[in-house]
Amino acid sequence: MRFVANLAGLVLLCGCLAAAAHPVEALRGTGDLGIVVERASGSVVVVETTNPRALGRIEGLGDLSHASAVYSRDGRYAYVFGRDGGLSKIDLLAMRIERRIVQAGNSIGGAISQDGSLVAVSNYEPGGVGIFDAVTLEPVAEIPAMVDGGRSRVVGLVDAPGMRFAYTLYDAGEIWVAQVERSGVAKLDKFPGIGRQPYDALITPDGRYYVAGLFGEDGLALLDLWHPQAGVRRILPDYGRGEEPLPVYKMPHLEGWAAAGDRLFVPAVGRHEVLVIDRRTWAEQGRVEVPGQPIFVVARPDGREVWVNFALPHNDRIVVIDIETGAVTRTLRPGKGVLHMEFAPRGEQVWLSVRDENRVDVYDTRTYEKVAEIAVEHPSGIFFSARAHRIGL
Amino acid sequence: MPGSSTVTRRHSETGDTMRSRAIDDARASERATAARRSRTGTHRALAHHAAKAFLALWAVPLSAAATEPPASRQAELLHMLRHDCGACHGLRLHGGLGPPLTSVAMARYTPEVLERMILEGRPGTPMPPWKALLGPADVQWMVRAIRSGKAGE
Repeated sequence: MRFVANLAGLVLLCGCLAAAAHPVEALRGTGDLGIVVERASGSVVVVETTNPRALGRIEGLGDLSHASAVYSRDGRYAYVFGRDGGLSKIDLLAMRIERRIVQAGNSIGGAISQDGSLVAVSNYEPGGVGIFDAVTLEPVAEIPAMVDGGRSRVVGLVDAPGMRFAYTLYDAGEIWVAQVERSGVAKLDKFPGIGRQPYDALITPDGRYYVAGLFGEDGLALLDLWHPQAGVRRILPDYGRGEEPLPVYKMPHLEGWAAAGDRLFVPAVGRHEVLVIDRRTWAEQGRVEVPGQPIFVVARPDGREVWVNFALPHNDRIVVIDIETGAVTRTLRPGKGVLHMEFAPRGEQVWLSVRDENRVDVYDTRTYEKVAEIAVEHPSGIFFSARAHRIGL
Repeated sequence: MPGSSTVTRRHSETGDTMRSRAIDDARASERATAARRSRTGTHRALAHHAAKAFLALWAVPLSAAATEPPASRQAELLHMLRHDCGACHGLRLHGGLGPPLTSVAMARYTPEVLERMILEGRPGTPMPPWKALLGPADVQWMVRAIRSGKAGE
């Protein structure tokens, strides 16, 4: 008996040694990982920010023009939303597609619920929102964006506290807020008449204010999600009025509202300006003149600087705005087709997609020097796993 | 005012079925979009303005057929079609915020109308005038690429 016990102990010991013999790199977290979308080849590159490098490529994701991604709260899986209605759940550690469905004909991004259990997709065709189980991607609910007998394309879908999804109907000019639970949609609130051609929307980092940008008229539509019964109000109604707009060769993006202190920075539409809004009064506080139509206006995580990229023909550069002075302090020229910027979680690095150079550049945000280049085929969106824990991303 | 609406449960389908349905949907969507636009007053008004703008533009004769852009420029234009036009119209030109630019969808327009749309934009829509970035020869080549389906491949 004693011999058997000793033998068992020995076997256990061997087991431990065997486990220890496995390479340690097999066990790792995902907090310093991310993906870069390769828009033309339907693939993503898995990247690491600690030692800026590519770890591998996941292929077979369909049409990734304008693709975006959200993360599971454990940071292991990314949900990639393709243009062709594809919803792919990819495993950053195993570096493979976990599940994939084609849930609509034409889509424009999505969101993950507050509790991480549901993934919602914003669809152009058929216009509406599809909601799926985050584990299995089984369909849970569909909300057709039906207004006056026609379906509207949906933009600006974000998650909001209180297990809500907020989104905007481009054709109908409405904001809808769906309160969801694991079994489906519990409540749907509609806010009509927000203005013409709302092209995108965003939510403040605290999840309180949802703001839709308007292309068809002046100003932005604001909904306070603490007091939705108060309805939508127009802010910056005079912005642009009576002025001849410049051609907009690419629609600005309102993802990642740049909030710095009491001020918010948003791209103007049809003007080569970044608008500064006082967050306490929602009044325009100023404008920063920039060299082109701004696309992304993103605050460095510490809020000291705002970084901006541009539409054609100025899409070869980035400008940096100092939020204390409101002045452009730096102009970087990484190359043709700077499509997206993503800061490392605490902001010591910024990664830039340089589409036409087939390259992602990594800059040190203290020295503004390039510290790494990563070969990526036609890179567009860059999405780090730190988004898993941020409202609205 | 907040209101309520019914929410339907979606059928489960395989990826392949949905993929082929998606292509049909994309074609149906062109027709649906056109139908939807003509249903509402705003869209009728926009269409009216657009039509007026086009009639005005037709009065201006197109310049004589421009020469074919050199091969390097053609590559740039194709890249631009897919990536920059594709930002709104989809990388494969199946549509997005902008309508599909497939050869089937564009067959209803003459090359001259398409060239004007690109150069002058479409008032009342997000389509901007591209004449500051593209010359007549560029646009003629692009329209041929769109109409032949070369751009969307």
